[in-house]
Amino acid sequence: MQRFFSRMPLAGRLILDTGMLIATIALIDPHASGLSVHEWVGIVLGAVLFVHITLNWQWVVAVTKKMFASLPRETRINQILNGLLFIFMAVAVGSGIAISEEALPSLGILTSGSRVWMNVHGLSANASLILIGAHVAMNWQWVMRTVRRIAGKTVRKNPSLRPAQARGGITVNLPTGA
Amino acid sequence: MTAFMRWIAPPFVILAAAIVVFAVTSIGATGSLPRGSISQARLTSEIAPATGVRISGQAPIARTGNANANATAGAIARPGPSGRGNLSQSSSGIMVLVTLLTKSALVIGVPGLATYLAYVFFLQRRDERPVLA
Repeated sequence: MQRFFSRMPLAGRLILDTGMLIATIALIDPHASGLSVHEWVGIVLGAVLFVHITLNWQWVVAVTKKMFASLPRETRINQILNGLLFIFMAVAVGSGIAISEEALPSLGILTSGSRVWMNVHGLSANASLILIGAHVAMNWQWVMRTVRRIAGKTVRKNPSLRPAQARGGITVNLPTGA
Repeated sequence: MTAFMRWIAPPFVILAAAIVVFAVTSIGATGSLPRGSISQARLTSEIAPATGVRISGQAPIARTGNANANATAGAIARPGPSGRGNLSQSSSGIMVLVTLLTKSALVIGVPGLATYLAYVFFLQRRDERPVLA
């Protein structure tokens, strides 16, 4: 298993991340996509979030160990952004499940559907969207380097490193997928 | 780092963290942990035991053992909390795409662009070397 994931190519990670972004965009407007699609995509996105974090687990461990230590400003901002994003997404997915009107009831599970949870879901989802924009922006240079590498163009820096790691951040041995 | 610690444990740690976050939010928002229940149509005809709320204004559904019919009846009878029932009817065509792209540009693109500009102009330092963990 370790060999499989450690050899997961950068293209695979990029496709996974891109898929998450597309799914997030699809979730923005439940009126447009339909409630059933909205709920199922949200549930799947919650599951894929686990894969996304697991793939970047070494970075999570590295920055968590240095939570109270001195860190470069960029890494600290990334740490805070990612922490907030995880919290808001966990709440958004959880509250979405709590107010599910189609997905869970179709499985025979009734949910609370209270207005409190609807408000929590709206707030956490909107906060998540804003933070996702910031998250993508903070990792945008990694995205571009990876795209260039996949396209066969030379890159100046190791494309396996996220921006925070490549410049003043914590360096961990992420698989290059080579 | 062993394979267990690298690939098996993280999902459980993430799940535990997510549960803790959600539980804390639930207690903060509602004063209690969230509770779900098995479809009441499968258990009883009219009253949801967990909440004591009547889930249908219709006559009680007889327990005939027809699980599919009862489940369907329960799903239909379940009231939408805020009239979201109309969300089940999705739009179609180019308007969906336009709507999604416009909204995503506003709620994801604008904060992302602002963050990227701040990142490039205020955070990026090309002369910094990576700090080893």
